[in-house]
Amino acid sequence: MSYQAFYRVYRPQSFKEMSGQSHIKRTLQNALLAGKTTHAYLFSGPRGTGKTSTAKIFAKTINCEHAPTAEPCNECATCKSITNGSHPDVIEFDAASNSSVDEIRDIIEKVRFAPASARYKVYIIDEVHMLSTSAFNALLKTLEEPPPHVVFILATTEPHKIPATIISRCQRFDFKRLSTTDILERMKLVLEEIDLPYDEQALKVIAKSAAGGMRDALSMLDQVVSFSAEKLTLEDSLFVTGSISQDIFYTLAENLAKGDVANVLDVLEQLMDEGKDAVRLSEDLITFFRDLLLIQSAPDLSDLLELATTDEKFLTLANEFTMDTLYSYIDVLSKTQQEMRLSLHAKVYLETALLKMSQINHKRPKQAYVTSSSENMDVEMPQLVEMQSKIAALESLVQQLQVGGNTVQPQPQGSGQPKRPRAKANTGFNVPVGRIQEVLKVATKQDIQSIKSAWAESLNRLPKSQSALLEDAEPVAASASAFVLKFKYDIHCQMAVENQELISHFSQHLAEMTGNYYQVICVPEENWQRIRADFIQHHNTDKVADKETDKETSTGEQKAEVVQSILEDEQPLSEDPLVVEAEKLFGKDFITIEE
Amino acid sequence: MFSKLWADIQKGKLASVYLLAGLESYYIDETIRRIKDKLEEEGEVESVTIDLDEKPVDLVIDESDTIPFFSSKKLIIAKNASFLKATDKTKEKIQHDLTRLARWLEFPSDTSVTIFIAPYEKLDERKKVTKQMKEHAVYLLAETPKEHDLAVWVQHEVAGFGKLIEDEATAKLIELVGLDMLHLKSEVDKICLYLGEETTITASLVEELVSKTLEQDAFKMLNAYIRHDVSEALSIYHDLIRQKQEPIMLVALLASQIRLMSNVYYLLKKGYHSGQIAKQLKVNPYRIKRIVEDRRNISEEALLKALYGLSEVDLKLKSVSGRRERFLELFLMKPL
Repeated sequence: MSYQAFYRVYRPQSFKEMSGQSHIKRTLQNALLAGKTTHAYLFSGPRGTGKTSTAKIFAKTINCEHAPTAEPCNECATCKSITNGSHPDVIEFDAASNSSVDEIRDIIEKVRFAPASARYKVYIIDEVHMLSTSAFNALLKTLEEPPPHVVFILATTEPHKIPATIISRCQRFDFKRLSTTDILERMKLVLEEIDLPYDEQALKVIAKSAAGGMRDALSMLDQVVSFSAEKLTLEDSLFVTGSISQDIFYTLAENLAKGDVANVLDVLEQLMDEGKDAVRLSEDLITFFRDLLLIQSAPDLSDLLELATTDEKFLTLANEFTMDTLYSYIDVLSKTQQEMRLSLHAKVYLETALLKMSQINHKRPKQAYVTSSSENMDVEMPQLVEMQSKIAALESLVQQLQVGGNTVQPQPQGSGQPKRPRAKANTGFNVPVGRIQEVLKVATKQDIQSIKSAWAESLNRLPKSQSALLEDAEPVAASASAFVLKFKYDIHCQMAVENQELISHFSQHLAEMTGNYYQVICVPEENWQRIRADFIQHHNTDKVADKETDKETSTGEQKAEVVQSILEDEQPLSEDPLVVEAEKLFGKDFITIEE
Repeated sequence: MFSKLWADIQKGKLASVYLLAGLESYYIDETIRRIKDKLEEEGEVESVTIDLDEKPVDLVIDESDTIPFFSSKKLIIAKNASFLKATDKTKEKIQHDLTRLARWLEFPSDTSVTIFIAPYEKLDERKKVTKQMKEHAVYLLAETPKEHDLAVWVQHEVAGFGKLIEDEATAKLIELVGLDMLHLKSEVDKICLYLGEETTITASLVEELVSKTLEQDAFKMLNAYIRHDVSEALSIYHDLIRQKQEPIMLVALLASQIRLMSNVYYLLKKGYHSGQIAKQLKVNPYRIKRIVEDRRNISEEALLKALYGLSEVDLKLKSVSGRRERFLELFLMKPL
């Protein structure tokens, strides 16, 4: 008999022999025992995880002469002929090489016929994702109404390429990667059977580079076995799996860490002398540094390491670099790789890259103007602090201004009245000083801000002829129910006030934007300045006055009453302005209010 | 609706003509199966399936009018009744004689059961033939139930196996599988088979057994990344790469999820609740729910940073040569 590769000889022939996939085995076996198999299965998973093997074992078990059973007997004629692939009712179909409609139709036409000698016709369609669209449709027709004596098993490595309509007709099983121990066990079994002594460590190396694929592991084992003479040694498996290079990369990285440029270049020379390709080498270097990164960031994922291992020496090496350094190494190398492709002197580029890298590393310990981001933060810190303090100062300034504007309130009544006639005389326009004062009294920062933010948009919504009038106007103060609109010129102000339509439209737009209905109070700039100045002045004198006698307080009370009466029809006064003012002067704790 | 129909079928009250419309093939399949089972109680049934995309409706009528040879009743299934559909973009190759169908509908043969299947979202109510069909046939629209009903249905299915399912497991199942009843059913079957002697389906079992789609894996990877669980993120990433997923596609998937997250958080801030968000963004409510639950794990700024990082990876994937799967991997390793 001709030589058969390990992975063919040691293909499992029963569920028991199969490594891993315990959940799939259990489900299938329960289904087989209970006779509750469905007509279509989809097996998906990475290569070498047992999809085709499971399909074949399933085909045997369901057709075994001892059925219903959880395991094929592997002794009856049916089992045997399925094992050697000669059973007429178990049809293996490689979709990768027969992907057209005609080929799949050929098979499907025969679906109707009852099985020749077994109980079920089992169609195993491997690499099913390779089928063409029309072939899938042909298959779908059959899957929709399969005859009772047929079982389809679709196997694929790329389930996302299969149409959803097909997937929804199948019972789907996801095969998972095998664990390293599963693979180790299997390899040991094989070696014991061929009676070859082995190094435990050697098997570990193979298992690791197989990355969860049993077939990969077994074919690598095959190679190593034919390579080694009497005993399977670590060296042999290292050589075959190509893991030999890790030492030289280790030396290179170590020298980089030490900043020993001469040695770095020596190692490079040595590698080049061995006939390594510079482009390939830079790729490997990227991989190596990526491995170091991986050791740092996810130490438990040793399976994914390609050129390094989790040996003690690699761990210490990895810790000699910061993450940022490693990232910048990879950056430099991948840029170099680009440049190399366009050049004949790839080696020069690689040398330059290594020199660059050794410098990156050198700068690190000095803790000065460096590339590492954390240190940048340090440099910026003093400036940052300075900025922050400045901002804080500005903020408090703004707040003071705000408060100033707000607390002008108790004053206005007294001084406002004499002013009104003057304003009238000046402009021929009746400035509603009293109402402005009311607004000022309860003005809040929020209101003015929300109006300002809605300003441009509301203006846009007005027809051009109307918005032109408000072009030079500006909202200057606002309370919850009204706001003061300042005009640059008296004439504009007057026109706006007379144009009731404009005012009502505009306040409606504003209301839509801000969610609050504001009354508009117009005032020419000149008058506004005066009113405002008065407020501030009176506010200050009031402060002084308040401190003095009860006479003042009585006038203050009168004032408050007037204010109250004016405000009543518009909104309830939230707090007695007098109390507010007093609180401001003496602090909340010292005041008791007696009515 | 369907439960009433099924009860009637069970009682042996079979109509001569059925019209089953709608996209939820589970109901349609199940109805056909039940009718067939009922007919088979009286011995073997002659059954014919005709695809109306390929054969004219005359064939259905002829077949139905022919008296069955061996059984007392005959089952005729007419698939793809596209002449009932509103927009018929596929150029009609087959000429259906609809006037004859209308005449036949008034006096259908009582020796056969004919089932018309219209697997479309909507029928054209204005068409004469649709009206006649609805008048004379037993008409049912198969619609995917709402989430809550779906959960009840899942529990019912599980109970049919004599098993129990935890509420959490039901939610997990619907989240992983989606709203496709046929798919849900097959997953339920699978899990119940796995259980064997045991009686309860737990959430972890669902997690273990249910096949995951690419999106779910990608989102899991993203969540791991956001939680700073580099190991988890990387191992999922490598699983995906081993399934030969294209890194560019993964980047796009991640980016779209991050974009969705930032949209959701923005709407949350505006005071929307998750149901409204799902409606506004037209996304599966389960997805939104998960995102809302995870909101504390990541700041909006970090989201934008991650989005920017992904755009850089995308650029590299498209411009720089070298090993393609590296770039996204390095991104995942970089702490957020």
